[in-house]
Amino acid sequence: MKKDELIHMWQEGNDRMYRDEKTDRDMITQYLGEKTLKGNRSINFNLVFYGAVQVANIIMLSMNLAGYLNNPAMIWILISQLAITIGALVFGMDVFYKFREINNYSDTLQNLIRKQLWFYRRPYEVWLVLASVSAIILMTNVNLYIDNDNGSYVINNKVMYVGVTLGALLIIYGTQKATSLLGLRRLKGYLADLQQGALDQSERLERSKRRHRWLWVVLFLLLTASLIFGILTAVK
Amino acid sequence: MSKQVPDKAYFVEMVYTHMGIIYKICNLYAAEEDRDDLKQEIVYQLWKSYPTYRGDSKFQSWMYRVALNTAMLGLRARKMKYTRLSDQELTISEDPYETLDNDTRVGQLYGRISKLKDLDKTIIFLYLEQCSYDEIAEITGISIKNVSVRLVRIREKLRARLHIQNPVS
Repeated sequence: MKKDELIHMWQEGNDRMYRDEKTDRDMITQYLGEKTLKGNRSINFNLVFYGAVQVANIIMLSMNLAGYLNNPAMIWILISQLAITIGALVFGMDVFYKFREINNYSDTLQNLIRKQLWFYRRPYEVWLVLASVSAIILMTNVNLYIDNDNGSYVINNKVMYVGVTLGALLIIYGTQKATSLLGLRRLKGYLADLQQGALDQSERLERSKRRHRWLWVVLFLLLTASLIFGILTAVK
Repeated sequence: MSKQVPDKAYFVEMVYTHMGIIYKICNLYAAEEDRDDLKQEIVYQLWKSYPTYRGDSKFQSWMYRVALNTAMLGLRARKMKYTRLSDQELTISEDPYETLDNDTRVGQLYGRISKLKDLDKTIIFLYLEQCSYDEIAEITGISIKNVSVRLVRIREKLRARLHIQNPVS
């Protein structure tokens, strides 16, 4: 059978390409060094940041456990928080292990995208909640430490306290969720593209992103205004 | 049991031998200014995935898989430029092969392939690299039947655009 002319043309093109490209063994070795550093740095940053919050929580909780030792109600609250923190630390380590696994590109493309989707729909969603809860635990324990009055802690306005804590939790979670949402939608769209063999869905997402850009600007302006207002009120 | 340490010198030699695969993928999937980054990224991902290479498939097939996955997922993850459907008609003259080699059909072939959708691009690329249907299906994760159907369609499209007659058996 005569060989496909397209293949002949392709091989001819390759000959042209090899003439121009120059990558020797030293350059390949150099690429490994440079990229290994970059890759490790990005993984380490997330790992260190999340781990640092958990370690800070454990330290603060230990100090508060000592400070509120004679307050049985507080002891139970602090022990519950400690259990959540240790759980979050272990879960976080598992999430980062899984994250490294799904970025191993030696699997088939379809499997890889399915695995990534599963990761972002399941463990990553739980991780977002735990990261937000961890930030609230840290915030609460700093307050408990500062306002420790001989083993007792007074909340003047319980409704306000619960409201502010829940509000902070929602804002932290919402910000993280909003940031991750776009990436996840893209990934879903891309999987659908691969299945259908078309880029229509990705294109639609890009258009939707451009359409909703003004919403992000308004949100940013509102948050900046509220921050300035908060600072001015505090200074007065 | 201790983890086996990968042989770096052997790895570098193998990648050097098959460096053509990386050049071709970079030229098909990345804009000119992103090609060097993608080349480095592919070499890095190959090294990262190397411990999982068990030697039960050809090094070349494994390399195609990792490199293509990096080009498609890595490019998008890092927001590097990629050819989109809406841009395709607008960027014809920017294609490096068309500008370098505008008069030949080889240049046109590169130009046409780089404008295909990602999965079609991968399938025709592997076909032109003379991978078997089994290998193409294994690398992409789609069925052999699907590979076959798509290839017929893509080749017809390319031949029509390049004014090539169907091969004679």
